[in-house]
Amino acid sequence: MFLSNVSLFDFRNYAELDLALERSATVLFGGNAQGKTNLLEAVALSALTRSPRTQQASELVRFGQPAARVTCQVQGDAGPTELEVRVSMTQLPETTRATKRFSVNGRARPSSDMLGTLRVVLFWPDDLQLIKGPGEGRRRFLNTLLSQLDRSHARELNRYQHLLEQRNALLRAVRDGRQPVGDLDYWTANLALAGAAIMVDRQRRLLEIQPVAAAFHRELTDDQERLDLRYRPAGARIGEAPIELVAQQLQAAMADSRDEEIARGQTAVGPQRDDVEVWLDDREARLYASQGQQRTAVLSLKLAELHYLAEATGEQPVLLLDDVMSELDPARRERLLAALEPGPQALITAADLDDLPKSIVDRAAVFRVEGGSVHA
Amino acid sequence: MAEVPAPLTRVMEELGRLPGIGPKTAQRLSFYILRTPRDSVERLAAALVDVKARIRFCDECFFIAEGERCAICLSSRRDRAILCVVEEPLDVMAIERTGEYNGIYHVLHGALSPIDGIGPGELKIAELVSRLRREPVSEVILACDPDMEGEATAVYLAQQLAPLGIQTSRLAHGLPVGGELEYADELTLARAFSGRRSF
Ligand SMILES: Nc1ncnc2c1ncn2[C@@H]1O[C@H](COP(=O)(O)OP(=O)(O)O)[C@@H](O)[C@H]1O
Ligand SMILES: [Mg+2]
Ligand SMILES: [Zn+2]
Repeated sequence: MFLSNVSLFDFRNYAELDLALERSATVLFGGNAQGKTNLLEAVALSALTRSPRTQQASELVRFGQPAARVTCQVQGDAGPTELEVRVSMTQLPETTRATKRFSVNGRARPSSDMLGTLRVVLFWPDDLQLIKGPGEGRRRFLNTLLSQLDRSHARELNRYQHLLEQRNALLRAVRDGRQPVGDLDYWTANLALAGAAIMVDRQRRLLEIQPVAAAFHRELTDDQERLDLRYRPAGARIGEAPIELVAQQLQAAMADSRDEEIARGQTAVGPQRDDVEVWLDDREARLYASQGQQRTAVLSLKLAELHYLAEATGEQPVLLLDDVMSELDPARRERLLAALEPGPQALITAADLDDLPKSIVDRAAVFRVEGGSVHA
Repeated sequence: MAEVPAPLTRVMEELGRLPGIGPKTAQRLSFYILRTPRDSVERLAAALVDVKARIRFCDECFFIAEGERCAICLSSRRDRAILCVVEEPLDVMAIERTGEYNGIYHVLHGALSPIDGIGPGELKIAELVSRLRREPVSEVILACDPDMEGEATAVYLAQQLAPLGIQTSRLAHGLPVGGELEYADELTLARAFSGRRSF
């Protein structure tokens, strides 16, 4: 699988772009605020149905324009596929809301049908916060990986989110005396089931990713440091439990915290509160790791993501590297480069060509990005 | 700053009461109406008055009606032992188009949706229960949409109806999950009717 063409219309600072891509590496360089990250964001949006940068789809539409379009041509074993995302501002000019619509080969599709055609691994400066930052980043890491492995996981996440919003609204209605407590039962039972399915998936995948990440980390630290990933599901003990049992645990946890849930109008347990702890040599990295140790651990996680996705699907994902080379010291940079050697397709941005190793620049298609256009 | 003249304020207030229309949109629509030729505004006003004068909801089943009872409730050819519960009047029309169903209906006017502030009290559920106590219905088909809100409504109804001892089935077979009944094609809907499962 590889991405052969990206075309943009009124996306961020691009009025119009049509860019053919090589199977190997593409380097995009240029000064600040020219549109390098925007281009990678467009590819990620087509692959993942959401921007890794913002929750607000309206930000994606070029200032003052009614709608944006991103179209990606993907060449796969079974022939070409066209993925398209359209973002339309809701009619009125003052509103800041926008809706996203998806199509595959020109036919409208639900968002989950977009996933799995163009698989990507992102490595962005924000990822350097993966260890130290809030749990949200680590949950996004899991969601992105698992959704690309299995569309039904993406569907389950959407379903869970919808049920969660309904149940939270009902908790507030109960708090304000607008509905009786008994009305929670249906939403609680179904939320617990949907949540349990996600947790069981997370547990299973993490058990498989853990040794891969640990192996990369051993290699990166010359056998000096042992990395461990520990899944912390919120409100359930997973182990080998079948989904129904996990759902029961979640339901019991919700029953235990019912008063608190009603008072706060928020569901207290479930995958939206999960975390993955990263441990280095029996210490939790979030609390004790130095900046350098954290960067190495992030690199181990990213390499594991790349490797696992390729192994599990039999296809190399596309690597989107935004400005990270300059953030890594020479040794870590070398290791990342080695991962590029057998050749996943990569889109790499840098402010300056000198920020990149010559070995990459020499074999890549190089483009300059300037004010929302891309030149050879 | 100049005052907004009273007739204009009134239009804004009235439009602002419509669902999904906030003050900003109400303002914009009001100015749109001001700019629109007089005869189209009169046609709109007349259509609103006319629909309210001539169309109402059936006292029995809450489908649209021209009098107290709808055409289906008034018909002598319908099977009154089977009652089909739907979310919206448009669902009745979709089911009628299949020609597969000859029973009567009950329109809930929505589905349970806490996000939208819709609980059992906002739907025609109490009316359904008292109707089933009164009438000789022996089978109820729950034809709520096959989405989460429709599913929640069907489960709630099944609980409410259980004490009445009436056979209850759920229309779901073959309908696209997450879809809306109104958009299901006729063949799918017809198949759904023959394949309904008991709760
Ligand atoms: N919706 C938008 N419409 C027009 N320009 C935008 C929009 N969103 C961001 N931009 C512009 O894009 C530029 C940032 O592009 P980006 O790709 O992040 O830069 P870089 O090349 O440094 O990675 C900024 O100048 C910003 O103003
Ligand atoms: Mg950038
Ligand atoms: Zn009627």
